[in-house]
Amino acid sequence: MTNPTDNPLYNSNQHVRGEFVEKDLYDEADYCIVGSGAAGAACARTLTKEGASVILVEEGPYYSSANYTVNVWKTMKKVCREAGMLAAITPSFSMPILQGTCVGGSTLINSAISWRLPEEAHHVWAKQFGLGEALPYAALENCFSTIEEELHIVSTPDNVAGKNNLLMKKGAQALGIPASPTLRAVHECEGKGLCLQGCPNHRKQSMTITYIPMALQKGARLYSSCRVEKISVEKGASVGVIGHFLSQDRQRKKMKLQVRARKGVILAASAIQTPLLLQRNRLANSSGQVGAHFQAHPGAAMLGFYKEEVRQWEGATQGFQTKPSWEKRYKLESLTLPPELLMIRMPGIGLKTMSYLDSLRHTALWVAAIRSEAQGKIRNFLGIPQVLYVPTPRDMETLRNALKTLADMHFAAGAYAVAPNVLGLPDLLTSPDQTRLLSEQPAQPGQVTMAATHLFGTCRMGVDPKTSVVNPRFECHDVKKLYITDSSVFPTNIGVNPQHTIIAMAMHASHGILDRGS
Amino acid sequence: MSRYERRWIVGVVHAIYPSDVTAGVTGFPLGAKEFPMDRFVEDFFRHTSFQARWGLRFAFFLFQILPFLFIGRFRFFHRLDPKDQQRYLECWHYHRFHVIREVTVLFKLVASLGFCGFPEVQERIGYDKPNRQPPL
Ligand SMILES: Cc1cc2nc3c(=O)[nH]c(=O)nc-3n(C[C@H](O)[C@H](O)[C@H](O)COP(=O)(O)OP(=O)(O)OC[C@H]3O[C@@H](n4cnc5c(N)ncnc54)[C@H](O)[C@@H]3O)c2cc1C
Ligand code: SF4
Repeated sequence: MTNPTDNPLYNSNQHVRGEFVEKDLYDEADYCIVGSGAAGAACARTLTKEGASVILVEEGPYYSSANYTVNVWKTMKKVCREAGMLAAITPSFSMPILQGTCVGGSTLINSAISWRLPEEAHHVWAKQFGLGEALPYAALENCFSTIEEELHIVSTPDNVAGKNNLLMKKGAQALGIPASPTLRAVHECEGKGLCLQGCPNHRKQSMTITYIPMALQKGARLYSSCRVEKISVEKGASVGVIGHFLSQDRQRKKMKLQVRARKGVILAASAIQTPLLLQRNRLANSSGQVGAHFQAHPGAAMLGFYKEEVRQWEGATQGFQTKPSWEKRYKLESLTLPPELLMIRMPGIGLKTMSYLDSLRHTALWVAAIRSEAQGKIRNFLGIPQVLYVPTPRDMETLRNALKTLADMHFAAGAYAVAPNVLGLPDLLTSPDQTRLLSEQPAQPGQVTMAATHLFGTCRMGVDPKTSVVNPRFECHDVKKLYITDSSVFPTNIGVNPQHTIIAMAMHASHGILDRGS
Repeated sequence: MSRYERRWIVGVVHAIYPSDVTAGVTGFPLGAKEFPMDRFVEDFFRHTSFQARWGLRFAFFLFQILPFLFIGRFRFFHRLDPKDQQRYLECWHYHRFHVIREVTVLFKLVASLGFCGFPEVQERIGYDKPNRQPPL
């Protein structure tokens, strides 16, 4: 099999690696896309397919498959924002936020779970934000179908599921909880359990091996290791961007890149970086909504301890899930973590934590992600990016119910103990009747260790320029030809894994942008 | 980062993953002391952002100098005996103030990214992936 990650186009003159650039560069095209993750790559694919010329500028490096490693720190420092140390921090609550910063964005390190936008979410967008006409569900469905075919979205078969996933199936079946194998964008997954470090055998259909090469094939040009800092605006319309190439360790700015975009600039830098970029440029913010309404799906993990060996690292990274319930506001998933990240979730510290090292192979890890109602904020504070976010009491109640269900499922699957990871509860719950403690305990946000990877809402879409940043055509109300296509435009979170919807929305947006451009 | 600061930080990592030799009771035959954690710590701080780097350095500094406040010992952390180090770590880890607890979660993160990333540790855990590499 040829190695699709190392598509020869990445080594052609269509790809400029910022680390090696020695002089200032200038380029121009119809469209300049900032960010090459789920949204940016989908735009590049769609625009080039229709004959537009595209320049894709990506802050992170091109991470060749030759460099993939199972070592978490080595991966994080190369491809994660702030080397994986980005977090929402307040005095009462903190939550790590993981994001990819490389060609392909977060899709290089995600699990490729794919869900269509729930109709309930679309209904809210239509009813509360007036988006029903501009974003018809049928149009999105067409995009979903295309993506499902192009990215091979399939259900995880039992033969690559691994025990972590199969135990979850057993637990859900025993309790009669509706659940199913995960739908993922993978092609002949071998169940290596390494999605978070970059799939070594190129089974996961990240943007790095799919839509970016497709766009390059159609003539797109890619500038990697180049951070866009300025959006150029003339006569109320965006006309290009200016960025700086970054040194190999990403600590130093090097030469300058100036891009002229004849038909528009598309921001697809993620729900955290897009508002920060606009704030730094003091653009598109007459509504004061840029960076506001930050939403997420905070998640918490529950470890089950089993007598038999589980070896959670064998099998698909995330191969089983419960059916998300819009009313219950949570979704449960299996998750494989490498030892470096697993040990952080072990109870206690020092000697106590260490005593669990030998039992790691007997653990199964499942997580609960909630459709939180909390809204936070992204801002530049003295030049330092800040994420402010605290789950609400209702979110905590949702999470407690979700955690209790996870614990019940573990016991139903045969676990002899679970680690609730909730301050104030015992380190281990050792019998099924103890799980009620999880729903009884009135947990404060800071008592539960959470993390987030699904982010939304910071440049939300709407018809009213006073309460939203972009119009239903994905164009900023305040700046013509400046488009935003990542999940910052989602008016709300969606209760399921977002990449499929992000890609579909970006495709849909691109069709509209093309119409407008012509 | 000065030599002293690095030594302090590595000292905390050693206490989070103590060697059987010093602790005597972990049952796990390897501890952070068996690995070049100083090189890992150096690399870690080189790659984190300005705010994470300074926040963490400040947290390590406070942790180093405050045993007297938490466990009544007038010594720096790295001069405490292993039993007191463990007691002190737990005081922070189970503290009622979120900010204080969070500091030890961060320490645990740094220590785990380092120690649990070494192939010898992973071998013993049973994480038998091909091409394992140390976190250096
Ligand atoms: C570990 C992990 C697991 C996940 N698992 C799943 C999953 O299984 N299913 C799912 O649906 N979702 C999952 N997600 C979430 C999903 O990957 C993201 O929601 C999605 O990739 C977001 O798309 P995006 O285009 O908005 O941002 P990203 O994919 O993050 O891409 C944004 C890109 O913009 C670049 N950029 C930012 N600022 C600039 C700038 N100034 N100049 C140039 N470039 C810039 C960044 O470097 C980045 O590459 C996961 C995420 C993570 C981190
Ligand atoms: S589970 Fe393994 S083989 Fe399958 S997509 Fe993920 S890393 Fe690739």
